[in-house]
Amino acid sequence: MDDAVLMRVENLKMHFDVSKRLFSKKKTLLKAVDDVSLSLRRGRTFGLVGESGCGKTTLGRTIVRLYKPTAGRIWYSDADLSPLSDAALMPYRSKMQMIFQDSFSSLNPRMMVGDIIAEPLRIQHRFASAREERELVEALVERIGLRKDHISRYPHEFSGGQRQRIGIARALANTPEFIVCDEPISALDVSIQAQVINLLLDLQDQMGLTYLFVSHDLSMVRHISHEVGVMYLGHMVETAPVHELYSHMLHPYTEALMSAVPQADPDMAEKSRRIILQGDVPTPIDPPSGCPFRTRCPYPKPICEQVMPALQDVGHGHFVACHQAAGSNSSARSI
Amino acid sequence: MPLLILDDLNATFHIAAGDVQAVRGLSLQLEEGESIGIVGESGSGKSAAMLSVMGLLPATCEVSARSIVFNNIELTRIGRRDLRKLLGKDIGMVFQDPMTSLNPLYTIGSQLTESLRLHLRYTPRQARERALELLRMVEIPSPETRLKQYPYELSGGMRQRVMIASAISCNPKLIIADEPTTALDVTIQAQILDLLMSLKQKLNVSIVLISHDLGVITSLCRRILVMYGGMMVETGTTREVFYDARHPYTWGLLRSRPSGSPQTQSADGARGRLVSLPGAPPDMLHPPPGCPFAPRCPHAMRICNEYIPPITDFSSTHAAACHLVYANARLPKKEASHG
Repeated sequence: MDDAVLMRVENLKMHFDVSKRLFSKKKTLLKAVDDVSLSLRRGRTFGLVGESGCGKTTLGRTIVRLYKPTAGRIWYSDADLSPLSDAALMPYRSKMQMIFQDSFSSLNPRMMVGDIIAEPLRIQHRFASAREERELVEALVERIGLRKDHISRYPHEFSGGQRQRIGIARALANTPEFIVCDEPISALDVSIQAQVINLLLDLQDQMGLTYLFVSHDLSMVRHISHEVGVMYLGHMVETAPVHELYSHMLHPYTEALMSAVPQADPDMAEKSRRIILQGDVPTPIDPPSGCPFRTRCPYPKPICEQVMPALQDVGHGHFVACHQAAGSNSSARSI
Repeated sequence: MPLLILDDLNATFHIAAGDVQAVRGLSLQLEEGESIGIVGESGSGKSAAMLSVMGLLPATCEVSARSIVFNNIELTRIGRRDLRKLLGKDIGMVFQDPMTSLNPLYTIGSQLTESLRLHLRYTPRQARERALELLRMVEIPSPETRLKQYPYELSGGMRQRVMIASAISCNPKLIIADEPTTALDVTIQAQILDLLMSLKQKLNVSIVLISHDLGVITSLCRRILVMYGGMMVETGTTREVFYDARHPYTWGLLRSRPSGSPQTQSADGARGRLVSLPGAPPDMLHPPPGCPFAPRCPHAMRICNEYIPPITDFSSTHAAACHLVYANARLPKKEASHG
């Protein structure tokens, strides 16, 4: 595998059985992630955007093997994580960590901050002595911008931004290489969001971390990501390096999603043309035939109803799954 | 005569731990058909200010004001029951989470017709006709079926449309929308903002839009009021506040978001840091004696920790409460006593 690539996901599927009846013969499947492939480059940030229910959180959780995938491969360096048992996964667990959206429910209210941060160390049996462990926890707490004496306090004594920092310290405890940040700032106030984003950027520069940054905040994703993937209804519809995507978006869904973000700058708000999509996202239990986006697409064609478009390479590291965008762009570029 | 005048509005919650001063000395005027956006972080008092106008705050909250005038009626001098009668009809509210503000046990139809029958004394048939008309106005497809459905059967965007239908049902003069799109996805948010904009023009209704997102406010309002620690720190047209902000908190608020311009990332992938405000918003149980923003302000002077800054006007619409821009600043306490 290419040295620059830390993780590679191939044709990953994560389907959940949501059958209502216990003994019914027909299974009802919720295809949260359906046939998604992506590469995560070492020391880089991959931003994953999409609306609620598009499968971006499930994809993040499946990559770190919080779920056992229905099909597909998850390569971590040269090891395939997808078939491994929990015991066999243990050495990889310390390399892959997660930061959650809701710092209230992801920190145990009955544990002190020091114990919360030390728990991953204890699970991995990193230190024999309590003194060594304490030294590392103290170093971590200072690194993420809290004080040493905060170690013996409980989560409820901290503000939302501080609790998110504690979650980050816990994720860092086992010196991971890869962190899934699942909406890490969406529960925070604007002025606190900037603090947490800056901390994540600093840590990445210092420790060479690889991030999968899951978010619905498109301007923040643009700010911190090197590559961006757009998901819709369990499918990756477009993925490209950040400059390429934001300057040259091809999928009509990406276009609508970007234009829907309200501009604070009054001049830019006047100039911008907002594409308003009709209706709601269809249910992933009974997705439309063919292209999943065709029911809301401003430019549907007969072929979209029958054939699911595959992710096609259009050059410049840019991939798009659309019958029309892929064709028109490759011909336009070749001229 | 303005539609709404707030003069020196204060709201204090009496709780076991002490008094939380949620709103401190807020003044505001709103003309008929005009929209204003109130922006601020959680706990800045933006919702409490508007709920206190409506008399919707719990009894543990003490509201006082020199004057609250709505539609030429002085609200501070009338009782709670009369207030309800007046405001239920003339002020419509849209809340953040339509799942909790719609009653899950009643159909959409019965919730929409309730206020029509109560305030306008419609017959059941008239109310049903009007409810159908309202659902069409908020662009809900197949309104006849929707009337018989319960809130859980509708998507988030549809529920918010029902909330808006209910807010405009009695032809209000003012709509207070408290974070109306925060719980929604961006593409659905765009739909709802578009709907509010067209209703505002069609019905000539004033809107007070409460949001933490400046982008949402810019797309609907011409004026902004920035709140921090229960107080107004800056107000002006969206242009004045965005291009000519005078208060350090407004500067921080504008700069803490990525600009969206391609320059935020250089070609080699090095990413600039966002300008972040240090620290956290003040504890309103023990607000600082001076400017509420002083403990986090990079430009704070000694006077900022001692006196609440007076409001300085820059134009007929633009004003800020900051010692930096106040021409007749007093000396700090110590030096004043020496002199």
